[in-house]
Amino acid sequence: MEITENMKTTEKIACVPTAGDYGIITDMLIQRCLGYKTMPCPPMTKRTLELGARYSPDMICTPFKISLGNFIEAAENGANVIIMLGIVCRLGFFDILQKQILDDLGYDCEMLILFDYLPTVSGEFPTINNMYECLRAINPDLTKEKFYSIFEIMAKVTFDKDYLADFMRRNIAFEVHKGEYEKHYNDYLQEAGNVQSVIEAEEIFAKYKEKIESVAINKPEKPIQIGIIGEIYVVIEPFANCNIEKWLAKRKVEIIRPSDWSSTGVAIWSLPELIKNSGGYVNYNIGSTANDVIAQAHQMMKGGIDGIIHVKPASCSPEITGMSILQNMSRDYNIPIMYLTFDTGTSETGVHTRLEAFYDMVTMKRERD
Amino acid sequence: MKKAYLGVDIGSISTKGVVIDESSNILSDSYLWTLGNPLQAVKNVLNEISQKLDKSYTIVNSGTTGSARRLIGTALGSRVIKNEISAHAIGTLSIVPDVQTILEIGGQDSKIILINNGVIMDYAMNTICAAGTGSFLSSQAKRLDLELEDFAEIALTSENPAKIAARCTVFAESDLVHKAQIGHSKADIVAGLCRAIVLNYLNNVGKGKQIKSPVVFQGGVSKNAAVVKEFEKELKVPVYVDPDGHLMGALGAAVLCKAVKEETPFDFNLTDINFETKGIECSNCPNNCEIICVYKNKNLLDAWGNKCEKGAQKLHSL
Repeated sequence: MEITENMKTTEKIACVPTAGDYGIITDMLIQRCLGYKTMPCPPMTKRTLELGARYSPDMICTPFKISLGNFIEAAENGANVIIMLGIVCRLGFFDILQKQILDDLGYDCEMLILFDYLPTVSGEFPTINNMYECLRAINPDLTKEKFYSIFEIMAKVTFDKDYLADFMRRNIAFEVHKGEYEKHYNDYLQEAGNVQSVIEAEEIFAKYKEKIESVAINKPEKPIQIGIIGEIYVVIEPFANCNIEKWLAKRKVEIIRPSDWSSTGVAIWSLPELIKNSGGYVNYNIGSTANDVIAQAHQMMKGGIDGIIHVKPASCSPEITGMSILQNMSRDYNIPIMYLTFDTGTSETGVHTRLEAFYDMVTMKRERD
Repeated sequence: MKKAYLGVDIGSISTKGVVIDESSNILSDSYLWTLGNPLQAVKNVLNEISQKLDKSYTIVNSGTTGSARRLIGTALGSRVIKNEISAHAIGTLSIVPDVQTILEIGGQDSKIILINNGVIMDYAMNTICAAGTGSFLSSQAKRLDLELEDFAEIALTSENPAKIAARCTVFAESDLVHKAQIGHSKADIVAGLCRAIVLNYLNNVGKGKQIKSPVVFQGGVSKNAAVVKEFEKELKVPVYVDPDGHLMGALGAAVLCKAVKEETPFDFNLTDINFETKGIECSNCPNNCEIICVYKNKNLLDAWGNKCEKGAQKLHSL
């Protein structure tokens, strides 16, 4: 039988919802483990939010709405495989509902899940092996050895990328020539996405580490430090948090943001450690990444940070639980925490007014001390 | 020549202006409704201020605050364009230097500011929900066929305020209807409503914050004596309402001007200049940013609202 143009469209084109700049990592996983092509979701705009909000249940958490908007736009552009992560909280059930909505809208997409959500129900976090099982179910040719060698590279790049991003956040407000950090960082992302071995990843990391660490900065000895904590999706995705990091970076602030894939990825598997670092403020699992957030806040407060901004999507119950604990901590350490809730209708102006007042507050307080 | 500083606070409902001297004494002030037209409201405020102002003073700097601060700040050429939270705190501190807590309930928003030794320590502002603000009170006054101005007087006659759900104004409203239908008197319902406003504020905005005396209460709702009484009952400390409480934001903006070294002489003739604004929707990407262009005598003065360079406005004439 002759192969027609039409039949070629059955080629698998996968898309993963945008979450910060982790696209290179997820692409690596999908391309190398499943052999699928990947397609980045179109850059997020107001339209993404509108589409997501229109077809989502009203009371669902914001990340559901934004990622649904991502999927619809990706499907419009030809993606036919949608990939979701199935762990932690309600997130574990996003895929089923999103698949149903996409079906109802008439998009013929396959939905794949990278972690099985069932173990989460019993209160355990799935293991790396669970991810392997999920992937092997899709691609039976994937051997354990191959998966682990790919996973090793992914993990290495994730840790490296997070190291560079963290270094950049702490210093970007003070760079002498604007834009230098971002240029090196974007170059790194470009190159790191293609590495074939851990050794190659290390070489590229070393190269850019040197470049990024030698960027000229004009940083005072004790700059104002503001911490950003909260629900991980809103923390790492600038579009979901009205780009608060960029706003702060324009104002000579050292941004401390411990949540990223590498640290949170490790933290959710080590609850006893988190509880130890929480200074007695919480003694049991309060769900999702909220324990991590409490531990982060406690470490920051012990270190004498100037102020903390807590961000969460609307209706995020683990973070709401965490907030009441944070209020006690804020009172005990006498360090302010500002709470911001983001939803699809959040006005950027409102967020910026609050940020401005918060920034004024910590700078005036610092001037007095 | 004696130096003076102008502060303007352009809120969603009302526009306030003050002129102060170098010791932060109020020389002239004005308070008018914004009526959906901030530029016109500011012109009216400036006219009123200039009439009341002693001509031996010269305004050397101006500052703006409130939700239209950027628009008006651009039009007036202000040196200080400050968010309302900081401006309110600074204004209040210049009147009550030892204040520790500022409660504020305005037309659309409510906030709490905690101060220690003259420095803001913490603040909170209502985020997604405008429950319990002035606009809720005024819509309920309409429902009960009462003038907002008479609200406090009627409420204070009540000896047995009706219990009204305070968590959310949607429930408060249905509770209110229910209480009326089962036969509670209007005075008891109004008193219950004032109490619900206080409980709602303390549960939503003031939650987890330690409210220490001296407490200053501001914003439009602070003019309601029944709400003040309920606050005092609930907090068990005296609640101070300054007769100039509505001017605190404008005052704060003016006080901040004193610290600006460079002077930008201000001319009241500005009220004769033609300012126009135009909102355009950028169509260069699906973000459809709403860009606001401000024109002074038909020439573009400033534009904002674009998320990226694609929406940047070049200098042009109307």
